[in-house]
Amino acid sequence: MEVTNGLNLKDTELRLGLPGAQEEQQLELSCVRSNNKRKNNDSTEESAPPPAKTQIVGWPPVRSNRKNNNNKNVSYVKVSMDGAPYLRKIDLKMYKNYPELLKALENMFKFTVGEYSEREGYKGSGFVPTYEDKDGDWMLVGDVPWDMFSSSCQKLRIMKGSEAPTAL
Amino acid sequence: MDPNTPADFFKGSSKFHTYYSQTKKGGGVIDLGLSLRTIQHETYLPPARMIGLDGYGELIDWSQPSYNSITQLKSEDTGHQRLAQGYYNNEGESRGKYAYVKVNLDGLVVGRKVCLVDQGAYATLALQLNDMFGMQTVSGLRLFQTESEFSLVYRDREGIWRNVGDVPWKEFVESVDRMRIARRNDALLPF
Repeated sequence: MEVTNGLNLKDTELRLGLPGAQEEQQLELSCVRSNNKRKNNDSTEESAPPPAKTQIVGWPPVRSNRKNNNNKNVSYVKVSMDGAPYLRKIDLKMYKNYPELLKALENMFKFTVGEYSEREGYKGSGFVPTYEDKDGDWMLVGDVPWDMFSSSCQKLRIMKGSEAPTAL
Repeated sequence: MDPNTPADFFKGSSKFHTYYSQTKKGGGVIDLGLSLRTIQHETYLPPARMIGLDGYGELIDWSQPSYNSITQLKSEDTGHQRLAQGYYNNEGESRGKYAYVKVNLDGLVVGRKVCLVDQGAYATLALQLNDMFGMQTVSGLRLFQTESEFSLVYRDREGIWRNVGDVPWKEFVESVDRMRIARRNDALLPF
C-alpha cells in the first residue's frame, strides 16, 4: 500500500510540476476517495453470494414435502362442460363411486345427466360425461370399475349428445 | 508483496523516464495530453482484472451446490414418474388383456370399453357392440353379416390390426388389445 501511494505521489508531482502546489493537494484527496469507493464495491460483491447459497440449501426439502403430500392425498383433474364459460377442478379421491361423482358434477354445472346403462350409456338428457385416459383417448364414464376409472382418468368433459354415443 | 514491489517500481521508473524526456523537449500541450491518457489507462486496467477474477472464482464455488441440488430434484421427479407409470401400465395392461378393451366407432370421438369376460362368443360381442353404437347408424351395425357396411377389426398385443372372427374366441380374447368398428366402403354410405 505504501509503495502504491508513493508511486501515486510521484506521478502527481511530475504532472503538476508546471501548474503549481495547491492543485497537488486536491488530486491527493481525489485519489484517496476513489480507493475507498473501490473497497466498498469489493465488500458488496463478497457479501452477495452467501444469501443465495442459504436459499438453495433450504429449497429442496420444501418441494419434496409438498410432492409427498400431493401424491398421498389428492388427485385433481380438470372438468369442462360444453358451453360452460370456465373449467372446474375436482379431487377424484373425494368420491368413492360413480353416483357420487355424477351427483357432484350435476351440482357443479347445474345440469342433469341421464341414467347410465352398460348397453346404451346415458340416455335421455343430452349430456354425456366422458374422460380422457392415460393414453389420451376419450372414453365414456361408467364402463369400467370405479378404481380402474379413477386411476386412469386425466381429464373430464361433459359433452352434449351430438358428439358422444347416446340415444338421440 | 515481494514480487509485486519490483514490478510497480519498474513501471514507475518507466513513466518517470518518459515524462522527463518530454519535459526536456519543451513540453508541448499535445504531448502532455498523450502522456496523461497513457498513465490513466494503465492505472485502471489491473483493478478491473482482479475484480473479474474474484467474481469468477466466487461463481464457481456458488454454482456447484446448486448443480447438485438440481440433479437431486431431477432424480426425484424421474423416480416418481417411473413408479406412477409402472403402476398404471401394469394395472391397465393386465385388465386390458383379459377383461376390458377399448372400442371406437369411426367418426365418433368418445370410445367405449367392453368386458370380454362377460361375452362367451363372437355373437354376443356383436350384440353388445350394436347396443353401444347401433343408434349412431341408420340400420345398426350388423357385424359379421355380409351385407353390413361395418367391419370389426382389432389390434393384437404386437400392435398388428387384424380382422375379428378369424381365430377361435378364446385365442381372440387372449390377444386383443383394442377394437375398432370401421366402415367397409365409404362410397356406399347413404349420407
